[in-house]
Amino acid sequence: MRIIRTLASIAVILSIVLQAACSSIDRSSELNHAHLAIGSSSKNDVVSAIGLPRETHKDEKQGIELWFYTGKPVATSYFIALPIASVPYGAGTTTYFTDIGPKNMGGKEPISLICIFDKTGRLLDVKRPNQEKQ
Amino acid sequence: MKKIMMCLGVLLSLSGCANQKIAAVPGESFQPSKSEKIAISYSLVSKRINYLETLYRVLWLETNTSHQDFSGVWAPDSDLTTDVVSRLHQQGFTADSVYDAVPAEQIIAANQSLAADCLAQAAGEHREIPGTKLLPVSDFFLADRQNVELNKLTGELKDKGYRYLVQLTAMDIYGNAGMGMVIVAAYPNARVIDLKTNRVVWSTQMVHQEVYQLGGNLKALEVDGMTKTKAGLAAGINKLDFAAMWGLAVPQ
Repeated sequence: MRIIRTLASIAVILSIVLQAACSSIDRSSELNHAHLAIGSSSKNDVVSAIGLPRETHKDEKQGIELWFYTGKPVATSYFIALPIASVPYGAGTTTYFTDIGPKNMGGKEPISLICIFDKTGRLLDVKRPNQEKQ
Repeated sequence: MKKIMMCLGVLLSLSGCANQKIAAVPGESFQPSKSEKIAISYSLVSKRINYLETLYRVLWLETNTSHQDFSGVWAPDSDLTTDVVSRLHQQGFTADSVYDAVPAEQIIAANQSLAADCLAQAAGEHREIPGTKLLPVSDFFLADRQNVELNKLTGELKDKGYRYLVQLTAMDIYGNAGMGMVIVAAYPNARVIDLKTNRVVWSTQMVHQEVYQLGGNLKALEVDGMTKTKAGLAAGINKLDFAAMWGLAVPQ
């Protein structure tokens, strides 16, 4: 019985930790594994699968719309509290911290996927610039 | 954490209240009658949503920022204008959407012209949220600029019997996620142009927002044609108290 309880507790803790670890901004995995149906997917289908694009461009002459995707966040910062001093205060102690986390990490992320739509919002084509270069 | 977020919400609302004291434009008076015709226009300068996400990593906190372009799935100006009109009707004002009063091309031209001015004025970016433009300083919205397209719009509205144009202008919209919650918000400048004199008679910064329990998932704001984003912004607008801001009622 005790083993079951321990395993259940571990499962709950793991699920919390894993949930906390999920970023809804980082879409790298979706971009790599999404199945987009060329010729039939609508804009809403694409958004449901991989989210909104980083940028869009309308080419009125050709009657197409381009959606540019980068899976990574624009910037990532960390808050890491490092204890630097402990001072007696009343019956206990007060601990002071400093933030040693790096800030605004990231940079110009290359375009990893381009969706091309026609005037009616139907997906015409999908390009993966990184893979095509290789 | 929920309490902290609620406190932040209250503080943001209070900051809106604090701004109300300086909303009146020096040398101008504005206290509309509820029977006077008011035209409403809400414009988003860039059609993008800025994200800020805080993740708890047990030993540290991770903050991610990003921005996504929604111009391909939603043209927000008309919808947000309708939301403000609806709120003003609830408060007893005689308000119409500009889209019901003048041709859409004229409004788009005026909004694009104002957007170009805003972007030029707000050239700096938020360091914390790369890619996000700074709000223009509030003086920008008070300045008596000779904007040809805006003057065409105000002239036409005046000819159609409107007394005031209420213009809300936001640079972008925001989605903030942390501890299971998602907040969708916009921070527009709201100004009133007296169409009799074609002068700005009232101006303030405001915020409207809604808090969702979406497991901290910002992508939920994007799916189904951005239904949650639209509903959240509308719910926030529905909490704005224009009657109190304009000195016609006790704040609730």
